[in-house]
Amino acid sequence: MSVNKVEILKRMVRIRMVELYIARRYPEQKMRCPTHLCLGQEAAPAVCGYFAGGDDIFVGTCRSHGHYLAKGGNLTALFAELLGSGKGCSKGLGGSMHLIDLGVNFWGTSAIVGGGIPIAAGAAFRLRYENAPQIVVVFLGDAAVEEGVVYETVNFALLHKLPLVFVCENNALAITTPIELRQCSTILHDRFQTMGMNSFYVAENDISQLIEAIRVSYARARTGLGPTFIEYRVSRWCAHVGPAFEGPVDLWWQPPAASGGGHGCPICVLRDELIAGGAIRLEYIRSLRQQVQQEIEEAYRQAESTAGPIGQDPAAFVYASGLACELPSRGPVRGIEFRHAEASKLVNAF
Amino acid sequence: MEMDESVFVVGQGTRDRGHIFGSVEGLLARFGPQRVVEMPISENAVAGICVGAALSGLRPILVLQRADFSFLALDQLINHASKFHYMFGGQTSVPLVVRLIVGKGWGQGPQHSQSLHSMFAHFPGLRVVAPADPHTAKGLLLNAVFANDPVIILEGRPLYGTAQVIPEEPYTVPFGQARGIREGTDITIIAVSFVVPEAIIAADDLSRAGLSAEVIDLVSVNPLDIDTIVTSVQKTGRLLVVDTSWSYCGISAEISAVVHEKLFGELQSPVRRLTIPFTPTPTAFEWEDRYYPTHVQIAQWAQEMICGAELCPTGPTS
Ligand SMILES: Cc1ncc(C[n+]2csc(CCOP(=O)(O)OP(=O)(O)O)c2C)c(N)n1
Repeated sequence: MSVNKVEILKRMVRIRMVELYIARRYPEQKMRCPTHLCLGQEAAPAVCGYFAGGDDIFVGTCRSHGHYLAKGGNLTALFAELLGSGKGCSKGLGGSMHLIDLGVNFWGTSAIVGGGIPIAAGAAFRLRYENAPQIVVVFLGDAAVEEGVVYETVNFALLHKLPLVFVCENNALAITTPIELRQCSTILHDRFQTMGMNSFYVAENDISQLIEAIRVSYARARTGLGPTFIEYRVSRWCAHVGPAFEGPVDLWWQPPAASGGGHGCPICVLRDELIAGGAIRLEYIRSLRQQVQQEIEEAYRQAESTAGPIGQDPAAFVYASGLACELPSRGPVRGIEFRHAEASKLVNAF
Repeated sequence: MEMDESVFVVGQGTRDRGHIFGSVEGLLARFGPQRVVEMPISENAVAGICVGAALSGLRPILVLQRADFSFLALDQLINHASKFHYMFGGQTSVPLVVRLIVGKGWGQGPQHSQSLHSMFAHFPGLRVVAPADPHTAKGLLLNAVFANDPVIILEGRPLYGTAQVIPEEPYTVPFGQARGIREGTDITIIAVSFVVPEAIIAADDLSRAGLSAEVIDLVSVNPLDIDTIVTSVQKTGRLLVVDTSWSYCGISAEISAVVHEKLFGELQSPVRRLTIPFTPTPTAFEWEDRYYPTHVQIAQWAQEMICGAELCPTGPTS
């Protein structure tokens, strides 16, 4: 199977540019929620999104703009969510840390470190339950590997051979605390091997190896071989939360000399490989930048125009059903298809 | 489980001879291992897996043999299950049932006998019920399974021996309904879970003494059946709440607050609360015996509230 790396580059660029745009507009204080950018960490989402089918399910963390976009999450709805608008992807009730787009099977994110992990396993359990061909991808940071629920979930996922791929983006930081102060070993993936887990370690910016790890992990999950744990080393080029960024994040579209080899920027690394191989030229990057910038500005404008919270009743979404529930008439198992229909209605509302 | 293939049970001891106090007996043979799932002792992950399965359209029933073990699952139950519908703007729902069995007696002790309904009732997004009779238990369980919200069912282990003829066919009992057990005019006694039978005996004792007690089984801890409570106390003018959980920040405090807010001028005596003392559960049987409210205490407290302390030489001591 040939891999379209230009497509992967495009996804990385889009995520980078959206994050930079948010960072630029954030000080205006219209986006009023804790916002964790993924600058420098664009590769894993882009590759995971590239290989995922529409019916595959992603579950994320509080740093999931990239995962959401990579799965095809609606950009306008993302901006609207950050702006607290009722047209946001979570109707303004979630903010940056709680993103969802059921229309593309982006199933939500948790702001509790490790919180999404068993939930993703539950989604995978259901796929097993019905012998469905899809898989679930769950993202986690290195700090999540300090939570007991990860080990509990890994055990369960192995026991039930769940179609689940753990993608751990190890940026070696929890807020500002380095991994050396938190973990007995700074390598994370191999500890799960003793439980029987198939795992991969991918060095920073080794995008070919990342592609391979994700391709193989998905294939294993799809063919009933169970879960895989991927550890990918990354650098976070921004503050833990908020718009401050460090690192030459905005040099990727300039000629390689000016970007000084990219300073380890994953986009520069992939770009240089593609230019060297003759797949693209710098002009392509520049026109891509222009095109994505236009898309972003248009989406943000549209999102801003939807300002205002959802309705007047803060209690409207506390419960899904009333006090008296009806017994079902015998019928098929309710499932993803049913939710798709609901979700696409929402997305189409834009 | 017959009615809907999406319903499955997960718990510890599904293959055990005890079948979780008989509550899952026969299910494995009938529905197979896929729908009767033996859980690793990983309460938080399994709760989260149930949340994920519920988000996917399945209807999990998670059983924990002791309510106390639910503390290990609180992140998933409170931070996730109770909030997913809200924080994603109503797009997702978590039709999850959590059955928590509350131990009592035979030295269950501090970590195997906690009544946690008050704590769970604190959180919006959960429904919390504690049935005390088989008819209500069946109806509420079915209502919970087919609700689209997470529901916590507290099951008093001592109540498992209760016998009652109930309909064989499926039926539901809605959330938010207290169960009037006995009508009376002098005092309302509201009891929860396994002190309900004590309250009934107390009412019998009181009636022999010429006093008429109305007995209400609270059943639904969230939401509260405020109408039934207020209507009753309006009639009797007095309220004694008897609870299996602590009074401090407990549901008895909430009921008392609601009644004082709604009926301040109409009360003939302050609301009183007879609950377990504010200590962990003792194991030594002499202490354990004295730990739980009994019908004798209930009758004494009620009598004192109705007649005044001076007419009750053997009045309450707490
Ligand atoms: C259970 C829990 N503990 C603490 C926090 C506070 N917190 C938010 S993000 C974070 C660090 C997370 O690091 P990591 O999982 O590596 O993800 P990253 O921020 O690198 O994406 C912490 C400790 C939290 N959200 N949840």
